[in-house]
Amino acid sequence: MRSANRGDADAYARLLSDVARALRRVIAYDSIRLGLGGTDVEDVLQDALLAIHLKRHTWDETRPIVPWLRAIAHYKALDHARRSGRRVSVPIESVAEIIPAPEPEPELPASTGRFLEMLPRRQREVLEALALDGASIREAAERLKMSEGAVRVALHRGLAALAAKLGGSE
Amino acid sequence: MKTDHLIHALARDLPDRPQNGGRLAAARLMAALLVSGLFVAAVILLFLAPSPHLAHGPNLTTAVTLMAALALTICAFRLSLLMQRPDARIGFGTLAWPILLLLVGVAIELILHPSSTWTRRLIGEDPLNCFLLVSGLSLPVLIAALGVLKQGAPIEPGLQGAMAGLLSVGVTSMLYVLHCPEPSLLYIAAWHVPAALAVSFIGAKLGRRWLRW
Repeated sequence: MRSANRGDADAYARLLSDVARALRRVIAYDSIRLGLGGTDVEDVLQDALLAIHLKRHTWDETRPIVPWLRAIAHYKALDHARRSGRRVSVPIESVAEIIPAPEPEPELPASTGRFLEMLPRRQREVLEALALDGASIREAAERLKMSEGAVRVALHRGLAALAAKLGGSE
Repeated sequence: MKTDHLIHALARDLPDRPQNGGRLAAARLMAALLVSGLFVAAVILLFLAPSPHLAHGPNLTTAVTLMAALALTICAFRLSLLMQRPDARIGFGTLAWPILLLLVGVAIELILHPSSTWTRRLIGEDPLNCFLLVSGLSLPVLIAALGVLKQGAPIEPGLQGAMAGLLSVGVTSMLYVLHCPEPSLLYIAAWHVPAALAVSFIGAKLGRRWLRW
């Protein structure tokens, strides 16, 4: 994370993958506790990753990062449960059968697709190129005939808007 | 969207410059309080009569009010910033200081003045007006503070909003000394404290709505 805060994108991507793997377990456990379904885990995880990215300035570099990551994951799981309005209690017997080995990650359900539709056209195109097709900034810039700077700006705004749509409002 | 693709997109979104979160947040919050505080001070000076006590130099009431309000502002400022971090452990013990200061002031006042004057000191001239003015004048400060605190990641957005409410009442109470015509700490305790509670309640409501992330 320290390298990421210095702008090292590769280190950051590695970190996020590691974090995603670790948090998937944490969130799976939380989801059971909160009575969320299996598909919610990936939802919450992506939401948490977005939050980790957009709120990374709230991590104090002199402190251990794990409690910070966990706090965000817990908050997002709780927020998810609150919004889906489910009861926050589950009989303990059901826990054992729901804890699976981490699944081969499922696609995010249609909801994110719908949220993407609601973004302004430029932001949507950039997000689709980078996130869905896995293009680099330069490829996306060439394909969409934008400058790399404009791609960066659209990406950042698009991610923030996506987080707001997924997290903040219904 | 696959999680790997999301990670790919996030990693491409790193700005080139490093950021220093903690200090930046403190500076922003300070700036927001200064600007909104100046606005509130301007409103008080322009539209409300200046306090008749200011001309005679500091008396017990103004001194203790200022100290308690300053203590409240400092404590709420620190706690607000702390709550911006999701992993912070927060103790609310320091909030006892402004209350303690105010209580000691009230005790001194009760000792100095005969009990026959207590009721008049408690009710004052126009307590409802004071309550509404302090609450109302705190709102611009509250809004400014919430605007800055939105950058953070509080795990209890409602609590963060309530703390911003206390912070804004602290700032406004300090400025309100410029106007407050009442000479009594008993009065301050009886009417500023409910204003503080009311504003922090509004702050909690707004926080739950605006500070979610």
